[in-house]
Formats: sequence, C-alpha cells, structure tokens
Amino acid sequence: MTEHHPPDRLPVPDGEPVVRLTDVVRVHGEGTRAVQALRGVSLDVHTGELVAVMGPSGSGKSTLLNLAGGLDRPTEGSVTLEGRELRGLSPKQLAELRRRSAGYVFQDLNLIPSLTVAENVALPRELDGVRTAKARRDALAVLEEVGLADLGDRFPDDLSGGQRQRAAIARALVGERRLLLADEPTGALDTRAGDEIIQVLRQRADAGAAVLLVTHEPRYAAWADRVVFLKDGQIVDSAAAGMETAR
Amino acid sequence: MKGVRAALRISRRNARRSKWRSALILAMIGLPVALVSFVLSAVFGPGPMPDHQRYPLGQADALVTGAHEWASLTQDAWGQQISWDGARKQTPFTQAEITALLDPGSRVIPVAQADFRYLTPEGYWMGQIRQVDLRDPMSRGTFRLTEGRLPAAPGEAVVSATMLGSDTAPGVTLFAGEERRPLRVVGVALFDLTGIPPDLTVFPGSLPDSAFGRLDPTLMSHAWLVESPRPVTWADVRRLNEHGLVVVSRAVIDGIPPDEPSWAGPSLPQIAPWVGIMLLEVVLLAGPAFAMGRLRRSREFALVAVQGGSPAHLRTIALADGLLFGVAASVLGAALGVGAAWLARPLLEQRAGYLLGPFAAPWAAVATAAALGVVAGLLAALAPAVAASRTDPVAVLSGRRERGRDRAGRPLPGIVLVVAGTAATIVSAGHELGWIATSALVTQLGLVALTPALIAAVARLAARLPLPLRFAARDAARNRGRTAPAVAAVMTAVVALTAVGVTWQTRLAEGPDYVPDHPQAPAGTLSISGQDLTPELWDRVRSAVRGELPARVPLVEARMLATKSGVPAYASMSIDAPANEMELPDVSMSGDLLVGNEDLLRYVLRREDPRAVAALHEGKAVVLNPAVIRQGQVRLDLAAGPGPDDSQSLTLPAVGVRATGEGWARAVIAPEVAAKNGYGTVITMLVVDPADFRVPRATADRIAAAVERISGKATVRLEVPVAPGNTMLLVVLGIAAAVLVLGMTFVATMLAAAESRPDLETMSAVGAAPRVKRAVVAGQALVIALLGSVTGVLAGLAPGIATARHPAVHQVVILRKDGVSAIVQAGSGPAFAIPWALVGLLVVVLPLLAALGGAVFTRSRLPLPRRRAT
Repeated sequence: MTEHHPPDRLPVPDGEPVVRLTDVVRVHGEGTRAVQALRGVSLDVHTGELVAVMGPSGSGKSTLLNLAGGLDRPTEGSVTLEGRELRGLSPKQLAELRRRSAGYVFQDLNLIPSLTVAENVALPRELDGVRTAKARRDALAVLEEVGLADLGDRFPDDLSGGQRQRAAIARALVGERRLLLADEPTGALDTRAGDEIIQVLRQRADAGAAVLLVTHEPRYAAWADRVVFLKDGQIVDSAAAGMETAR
Repeated sequence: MKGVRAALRISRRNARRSKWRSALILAMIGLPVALVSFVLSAVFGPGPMPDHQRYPLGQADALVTGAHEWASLTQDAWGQQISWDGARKQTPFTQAEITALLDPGSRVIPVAQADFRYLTPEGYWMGQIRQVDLRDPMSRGTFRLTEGRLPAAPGEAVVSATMLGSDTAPGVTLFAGEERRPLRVVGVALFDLTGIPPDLTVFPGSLPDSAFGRLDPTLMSHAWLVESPRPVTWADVRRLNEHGLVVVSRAVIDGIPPDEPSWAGPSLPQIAPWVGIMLLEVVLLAGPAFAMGRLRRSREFALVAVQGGSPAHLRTIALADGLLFGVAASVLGAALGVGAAWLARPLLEQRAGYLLGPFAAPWAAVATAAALGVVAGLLAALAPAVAASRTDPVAVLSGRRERGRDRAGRPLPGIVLVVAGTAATIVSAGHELGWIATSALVTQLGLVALTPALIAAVARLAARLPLPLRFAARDAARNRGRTAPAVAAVMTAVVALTAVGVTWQTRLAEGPDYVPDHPQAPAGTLSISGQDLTPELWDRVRSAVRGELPARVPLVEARMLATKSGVPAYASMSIDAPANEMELPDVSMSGDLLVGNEDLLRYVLRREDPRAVAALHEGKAVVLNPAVIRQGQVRLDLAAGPGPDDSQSLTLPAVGVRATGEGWARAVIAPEVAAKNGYGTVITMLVVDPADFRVPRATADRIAAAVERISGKATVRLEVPVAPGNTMLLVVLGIAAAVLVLGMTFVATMLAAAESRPDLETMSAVGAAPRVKRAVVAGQALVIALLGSVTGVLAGLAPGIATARHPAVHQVVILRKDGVSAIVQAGSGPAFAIPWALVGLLVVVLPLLAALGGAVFTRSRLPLPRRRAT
C-alpha cells in the first residue's frame, strides 16, 4: 500500500504546517570527529496529524525531534515552527517557543519528582508568567482530557508508568501548544499501557494537535497518519499508514 | 521575574526530599547566624547597667534617706547630685518620723549597707553587707534565691553567689565587724548589679545601726524603702527635700528617657573585614553543597529547559535554593541564637553571680546577622545557578556528559590581589587589627581567584603518582568549578586558624603580660602569703608547711602593720613617679612594708648586713630605696579598715640600705617599733629563702594542696619561670580545624565521587578491584584537604605575624618591690613564633584523616554501568 513521493516533500493536507523542516542537516562535533546525524531532511507536520518516525538506532530520530522543537539547532537548512523560522532565535526566545508552541514527552523520567502532577503540568504556564491559580486550572483541564483528572495532587512517584506518561503528554499540551514531540513514549511501558498512550496521542491529534512520534514499534506506527523511515540521517521511505483496522 | 513562585516551590519540595543535604546547608548557614545571634543577645541582651542608681528599688515605690540637718536640700532624680547647707552633725530620721512625712498608708522598711570585715572559718573577708528584710515584697526583684532559704531572724544571712565558697556556704557561721557579731548563712542568692552588690544580706537587727557608719546617701548606708498608695512624684520629692530627705522615686526615674549608650559597639570599619571573612567562609562552605544539588538535579533542570524554561528560569530555580536555605537557615539560626541566649540567662547569671537586667534581644543586630545569612545563601548558590542556566538539555537527557566550561580561573587579577593584599598586610603589621583583617581578606579573595590555576598546576605534577591519586588530581583539575570552591573553603579556614595560632603562640612566647606575672620574690623562693588569716590558721599553715620541709630549714615570717584589733593596714610611701603611670606588682597588698627579724632582713636584702641588722634592733626602719628618706625619717600613710576615715600617718627614723640586686620589700621594721607606735601586726607571708633551701616543684605542689585544705585565702607560690604551655591553643584550634577541614573536605569529596561515577563505572567494566573506588575517593579527599591546608598555612603566616606585632613593643614602668621604679619592655619576646604542632596537624594529620575518612565511608561496591535511554 505504499505510495511513492518525492523524497524532499511528503503530501500534506491543506494549510500551513505546524512545523516544517527543510533540508535540515545536523552535524555533531567537529573535524575528524564530526558525525552527521541528519543529512538533508525535509518534513512537514500539520495540525490534526500524527506522524511516526521509525528507524534503526543512531539513524537520527531523536535529533530530528530535538530540532523540530527548537531544543537543538540545525547545522544547515531551516526549521519553521508555527510559521516562525528558528534560525537566529536566541536561547531565551527558543525557550519561550517551547513554552508556547511545542511540548516534549520522553521515554521516562519526564516529571519532576518534587512537584505534584498538576504542578508539573502547570510548570510551563507558570514559567510563562501565568498566575499560579490560573496555571493550575489550565493544568487540571488538560489532565482531564488525558484521563487523570483525579490524580492532579499526587506526586509522580505515586503514579503508574502509563499515568506518568499521560501526565507528561498533558504537560506537553498545556496552554496553546499545538506541536507534541514524543520520543519513544511507550519505551518504558508494558504493552497494554503503551497501547493506551498511543490512543491518547491519537485522540490529541484528532483534537487538533500536531504529533511527531518517534518509535521503533511497527504496531504503534500503525496508528499514525504517516510513517517516516530514517536511516543514516536520511528519510528513506514514507508511507501514509492505512491500517484502519488497528484503531 | 516570571516563575519565581514555581522555582521556590521546586526548591521547597526538593529540600524536603533530600533531607541530609538540606540539613547540611541549613547547618552551614544557620550555625554561624545562630552563633552570632547568641553572642549578640548574650552580650547586649541585658542592656546597659543603670549606673545612676545607688540601690535597686525592687518593688518599692521609693527609697529615702536623710538627716534633719539637710533640710532644704536639692537633688537630681537619681539622688546622685545632692547639695545641702548645714553642719557635719547628722541627726537621722526615725522610722516614725519618715512615715509621718509620707502619704497616709505608706509602708516603710529600713535598709542599710556598708563595708564590713567579717571572719570565716578560713580567714577574713572584706565586703558589703546589706541589712534588709528580703522576705518583704518591696525587696522582690532585687535578688533570686538559688539555694537554702531567706533569713527570717536576726543573725541570719544569705550569701551572694559570687562570694559562695566552702567557708561561706549555708550552715557556716560568720562573724562581722570588730564586735564579731555572728551571722549564720542560711541561703545563697544572686543579687541585682545596681549600686554596690552585697557579699551578704542579713536580717534586720543582725547588726546595730551604728555599725553601718555615717549617713551617706551615695552609699545608702542608712535608708528606707517606701511602699506608697500612689506613685511618688517629683513634687513629692521636692516636698521631702525640704525636710532633709533624699528621695529616689520609681515613678520619677521611670519617666527619664534612657541614656544614650556610651559604648555603641565596634564601628563599621572595625567589623566589616570580619564580616567579609565570615561571609566568604560561609559562601565557600555552602557553595559545594549547592553545586552538589545542581548536579543531582541536572535532569530536572534539563526537563524544565525542554518544557520551555529559559536560562534565566533555570538560574532562578537554582537561586531559589539559595534564597530558601538562606532565609530558612537565618530565621532558624537567629531564633536559635536568641532563644539559646534567653534560655542560657539563668546559667549566665549563675556564672556571673549577679542578676542580669531584663532581657531584650538586640533585634537590629540580630536582623543584620540574619540578613547576612540570606546574602550568604544567595552568594553560595550563585555559581551553581550560573552553571544550571547553562544546562544543555539534549546532552543531559541523552546521558552524554556536559561539556566542561571550566576555565583556569583568572590568574592575573588573582595575582594582583595576592600581591596587593600581602603588601598591605606587611604595611599594616602592628597597626589596628581591622587593617590586617582587611588586607588578609584581599589576599584571600586573590587566592580564591588563583585556586583553579593552582589545581591545574598540581594536576600537571600528578603524572608520576599512582593511579588513584593521579585520577583524583586530574579529575579535580578537569572539574575545577567544583574543586576550586572546596579547596578555597579549606584554605580560608586554615588561613584564619594559622593566623590565630601564630598570634597566640607569639603571645605565649612573650612571657608575662600582667602584673602578678612579674617576679614577686627571688628566684626559687617558696612563699605562702595572705593577710586575712587568723593566727590560729597561720599556726596550722605553718605546721603543714613544716611537715613537708626538711628539719632546720628556716621558715621566715613576714608581718605587716595592723590596727590594735588586727585589721591589716596598707602602708604607702611616696614614690618617685606618678602612680597612674606605674604598675604595682604587689599582690600581698601590704604596701611592702614588712615587719620581722634579721632573717626577714637577710631575705629582703639578699645578704647578711650587720649595719642593717643593727639599725633594725635600734628601732629604725630599714628602707631599701633611700630616695624616700627625708632628714633621717620616713613617712608612712597607713590605711586600715573599710572606710577612708581610718587613714593615719606614721613617721619613723630610717636608714637607707640598698639590697644586693633587686630587693624584696620597700622597708623592714621590727615588731617592737609597731607596738611602740600603737600598732599591732599580722602575719602576711611565710617564706622559704632559696639561700636556705630550694623547694622542689613536687614539694611545693604538696604544700599548696595542704594549705588549700586549711584556707582558700592563702596563696602558695614557687618563684620559678614557668614555660608557657600551648595545650589550650592546640585543643581549641585543633578542634576547630578538624571540624572545618574535615567537614568541608567530606562535602566536596561526596560531590566529586558522585560526579566521577561514570569513570568508576568504566573502571569497573575494565576490571578494577572494588578497593580502587575507595582509593580514588580517598585520593579526591587528599587532594582537596592537602591543597587547601598547605596554601592556607602559607597564606595564614603573613596575617598571623602581622597581628603578632600588634600591639607593638611598649614600655611599662613598674615599681619594684623595693620601691625603685624600673622600666620593663613589654612584648619584647621573639618577633613571632610558629605553632609547629598546629601546622603539622593542618598539613599532615588532617589531610590524611580526610583521605582515611573518604576511604572508610565509601561503599566499595563499584557501580554497574547503567544503560541509558537514547
């Protein structure tokens, strides 16, 4: 069922993408120790879209994610987040962008153990200068969306792995953020909890978020609208996933 | 600043999660604040002593005293400046007369106070006796009973805690005055320091009114305490003045605004360098603990960064730690210090022997100390906060090591500061201590700036060392940002300890500093002195001394003039220099006019002198300083008894005889001369002349113990130069050094061990034995402690020597015992003395102990390499 597209641009729904990577090159290190993590990658993710990134270890999946959220800067090429070119932004402006436009979810240890779940979720808002009470209301609203409405005052250590990942997803989406960047969010979970997390991500995408999911599990990739395969820093294949039955 | 609340919340929760680290930081900031607050509260808490008041009023409304002849007197509110017209004749008021002059319903009790000579089982004492009913409510607040009960009948007394001894304890009967009126001690009390605090307070009727001498309002010799139905106003005072009464009214003096404190404590320039040094020390102490916190939480910082925390946010979160701990530690420390001072008051009072004034914490000073604690917390968190703001989230979250950003410090400003500080230290040597401290602070700051470069230099020398040490040195150099504050903290502490040690040792080497340390007798003399022993007690002392000495060793007896009733009389002769410039090393308080036979004369003159012996037998005074003889006669002023009224003068024929070397009395007369002039004599000293027998130290110690058992009023002294002991110095500074150096090294070592975990994992993977980890941690402790101690000792020598030169050599004029004034160079010892034992402790023992401790307290199990999420 794979369709072939030009490697530099994948077919996208209408409208401006939430994030657009254009010919992105990322080189770690310098001189003889230089490692090319990404070699000319272009990718758009639109609102309402769940894009899965797959590939072997060291293929540049995480680097791609870091670049998309402004956590890292490309050596060459351009990254545009909600229409804003990230090149030339100061660390402070990039941090602001992460507070307002993009949210990350990692494999584990996402939450700050000394803060309650609600406080963790409210953190980006509070850092943004939102009053504590308002930030907490926002957080509780998002927690409700991910099914954790009752656990806001628990500490992360009291939660199961799946619940923690849901809280992390809630935090990545709190406020007006539309881009969710998830790096192996199911990696530390058992199959059932992993399935639930993918469903939450799918729901968020259906509700209007743009989700970029790094995974090496083909069964999770099946929930994506599109799957991008990375190898040695390049997109070697991409497919519109069509396993409707899996949903 | 956005996100401050969130930052503070994170800090608060983290503080609760890592309790040990929190306790450590709280202690490091809080304890200095607590110590300073305690000292401030203990010293300034009681407030200034009311030096205007002559007698503590207690619960009384007023104190009155006066004579009918003083009618129309004028006085100030304190009853201090009084003027009246009238004759010397005094007709005291009776209690009925006083009551009649006061408001109807007033109640009056008598109070009297004067100096008395009183006899205890161990000899005489001289001191104030107060006669008042302590059970009366009016006396409340002037004393606190600590033992026994209050006097309830004439002849009963409580003794002041300051005067409590085996011879004045409850149950003992004392005899006061010439009439030997018995006073049985029934209790012990602390007295208010207002006026002249009494040795003894006796029940009314124990001593007759006449025993308290003349009416004297400044001594409150005969007065009444008044309880009035209404406050005694200034108008009342003026009215009573008309009748001849001096009145001190509570209502009046309570209305007087308190005096400006005459001494407002040290000025800012005087304390600023010390505050600076203390702040530097606390910052360097707590800094590594904050750095450790940052390291442990690096993942947390990375997460915050990923969620949109800007570098400023991360800095805020790390600084919030400093603020939180600074505030918490300072508040706790200040509360602890003030609370401890308040709780310690009964102990302080007991120790001082007096009631202290009402407690009022010096809040402004304590608040300043607490504010400095907060500043210290923020400063200590500053460097870790800057490091936190540079967190590379990608590196942290992917488990890669963050790239080191350590630079080799700033050698040039450091060198400039060290050179400038050292030069200033040399210049300030012998000047005000504040200047030396300021110079030392400048040097310190320079050395702190130089520490990273120093560590780098040491690491370069480490190539030949065995693996653990080599690793430790290289690791220290690679993580200079973490090692430098630890080394600097150890160094700063060691600098202070070394400086104090050098000063202390130099003072010890300088020899006698105060008058009783000057020679009181020829070298090798054993003397037992004391003028307050009864003849019976002297008999017992004499036989006790005899028992320890070989037979036939003469015991030379020196007596002094006394009244017929046996009150010693101090003899003064004119001296050829103003007395206020002169130090008088006369511990016997006899005036060095000795009464005795030719044995005494031989001892005093240090030779047989037939001419002097003949003169003595002829009834002449043998005077050692002929300068005081006028027309063959010497004039003596004799003061005996408590009052100044008892001063008399006596003129005797005299012969001037210079002693061989220094003489050991101003004049010697025969007992018959005293008797002929209407004086008695009392023994003041027994002497074993070293020309007859040199008493060994052990014998002298046995004699001292035997005499102590007979009376505490006799002083046994063996005149030999005593080598100054520096045990105290070693104990005090040694404990401080051990706590500071070891404590700081351990914190820093824990930090280093945590940070070198990946390397230890690698070592484990390539087959390193478990003990290698111990050795590495020991090496890390050794590098920090040794580097800090050695640089600290070297840097501490300059301020130490500079301080040892202060005060500079000065001259003291002393009046030798023979009445000849002599100039003594005070502080003429060596320029400085190094406390080698302390230095050895600092640079050898403590670093090795630190290394040993590091090895012992490390789990030897090597960590397993951990898989990281990628």
